[in-house]
Amino acid sequence: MSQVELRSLTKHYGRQPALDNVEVSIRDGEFFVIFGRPGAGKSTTLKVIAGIEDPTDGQVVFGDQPMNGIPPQRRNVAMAFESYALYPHISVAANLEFPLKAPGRSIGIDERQRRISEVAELLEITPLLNRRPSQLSGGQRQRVSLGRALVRSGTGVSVTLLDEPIAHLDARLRHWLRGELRHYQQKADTTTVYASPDYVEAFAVADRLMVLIDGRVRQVGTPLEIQTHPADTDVAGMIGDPKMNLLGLDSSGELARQARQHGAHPAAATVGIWPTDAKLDRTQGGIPGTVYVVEPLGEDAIVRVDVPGGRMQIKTSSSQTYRPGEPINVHPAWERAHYFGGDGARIGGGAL
Amino acid sequence: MDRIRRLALLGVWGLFAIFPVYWMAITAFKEQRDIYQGPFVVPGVDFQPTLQSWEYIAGTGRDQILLGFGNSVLFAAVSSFLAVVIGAFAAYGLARYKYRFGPFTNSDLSFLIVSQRIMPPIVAVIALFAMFRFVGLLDTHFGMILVYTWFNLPLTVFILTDFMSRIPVEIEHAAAIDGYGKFDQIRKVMLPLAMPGMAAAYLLSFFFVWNDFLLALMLTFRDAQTLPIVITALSAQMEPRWWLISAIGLLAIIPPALAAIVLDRFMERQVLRGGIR
Repeated sequence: MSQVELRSLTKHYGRQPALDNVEVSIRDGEFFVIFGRPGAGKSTTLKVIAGIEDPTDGQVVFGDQPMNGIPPQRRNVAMAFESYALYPHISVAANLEFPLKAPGRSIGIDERQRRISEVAELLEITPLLNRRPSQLSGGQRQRVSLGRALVRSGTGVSVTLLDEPIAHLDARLRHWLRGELRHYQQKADTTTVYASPDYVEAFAVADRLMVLIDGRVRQVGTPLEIQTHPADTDVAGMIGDPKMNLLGLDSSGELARQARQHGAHPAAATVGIWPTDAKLDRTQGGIPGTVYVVEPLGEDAIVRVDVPGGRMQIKTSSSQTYRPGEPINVHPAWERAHYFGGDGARIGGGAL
Repeated sequence: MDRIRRLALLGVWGLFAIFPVYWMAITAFKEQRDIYQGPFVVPGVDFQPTLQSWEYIAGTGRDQILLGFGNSVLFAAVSSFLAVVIGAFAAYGLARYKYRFGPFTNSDLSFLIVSQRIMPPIVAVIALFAMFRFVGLLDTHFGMILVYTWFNLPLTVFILTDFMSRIPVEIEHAAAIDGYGKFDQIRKVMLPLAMPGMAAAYLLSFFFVWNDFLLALMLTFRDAQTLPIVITALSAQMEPRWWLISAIGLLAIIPPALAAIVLDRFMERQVLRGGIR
């Protein structure tokens, strides 16, 4: 394990920049998540750290050891590929054993067996150990791929790279494994870099996250820091489940008037309101709107409301029923609203 | 109706495939006069089978036939092996790296290699004869292995390039991540996954060498003669001894058939399934 530093990392494919001046320091033993939409450069970042891709510019440093020009096999990284990349000609057990048997790694047969069964147990693939990858379902293959990376933790791996390692599992396993991965990582104390486009997954497991948009780092921080202080409207637009409501404050509108009245920054062009930070009622006051659609989700319900400035998603208790087309008043918790300037950058608000 | 049509087609095809072999088999047990009279189709009914040809093979012709047989096996086995090994390296390069020479790229390079096989071999054979005479390779084992390897390389490169470019590069990357150097990546991952392609390329090379007549005719005259040349030589002095040709022909089916049976196990087409999403 070690600290991983990316210094002004740039990667071009042809003329297209996939990574643009990425600068971040991943701490020793940290569970670090790269959060971004598909195509943002998450996989590219992992591949550059692993040494599969060479950066066009900039440096990868493990501890105080510059890694540029060092091939993957000498970096001692573990990685689960988004595309799985299993060895189709050997069994699941042999796939898991493959990295443990690499030249120069003197891991005895007993220790190899112990590790394989431990990881197989964790990932619920014990009954599959004698099968070939072609005999597995997609989700099972993904777990084998994850297992091949995890089986090495604690064998002196510098960093474990996980590229959307649970994206193709069913909801139950995804939820369960998320916690298990976190637990496993803490127990083995391995520096882990995890790429995910999924808000819930990313924020659930991360010690810290890096928000990547179009190959640029837009924000680095703990999940709480990013949730309470999103750096700009682009970041704010990616977080929350449902997403944070971002509404334009055009100067003459009712929304803007109310926002100013409740202490909005004078230069604010956009207001961000968490779906849980607004109440709905049928009395006077608040922002007048119309119910667009209601999604009941057990105890809670998501109500989408058309208001001047956009459409809001509001999370309410499902004890109240709303009908589409019904006029309604939205009461944001203004003291917790986020304000962003004309360029999208955060300018204030967002108290907890 | 469909079934009948299918069976009829199958029957016609089967006749074309099996009858020549059957004819060769019974001819090997005929005497010359049974061959020229006839047609005699059923042994024991139309004609009396004789072991004349087999006695000749075990007796008078034995040394010469053994020489041709041995040479053919040696040339086919060794030159096909070399063509597959060298071809695999070339194919790996063509499949994994991008080359650029002025306006020319990988596909031009591939075409250049395959284009060696566009011209009929007779074009090359006279030049080869001159070259071989100059360096003293005429009628040598080494020379024949060399010429067959050269001749089969375009084929193996062509087949293997296609095959290797189907192996996902991520699997190689995974092997690198797992701690294996370039050589081990190729040995432990690429080679097993390319095995079906290599087996197919080997077989096709083997068949070509086994059946080649032209190159052996021009470049050998005694020590390095191959079986097709020996067969021809046995008949050249007088009228064609079809019974003998057929008997040796039957024997000549065995090595390529064995090669096909052995290599068939490696030709599992689905070998890449399950590797990536």
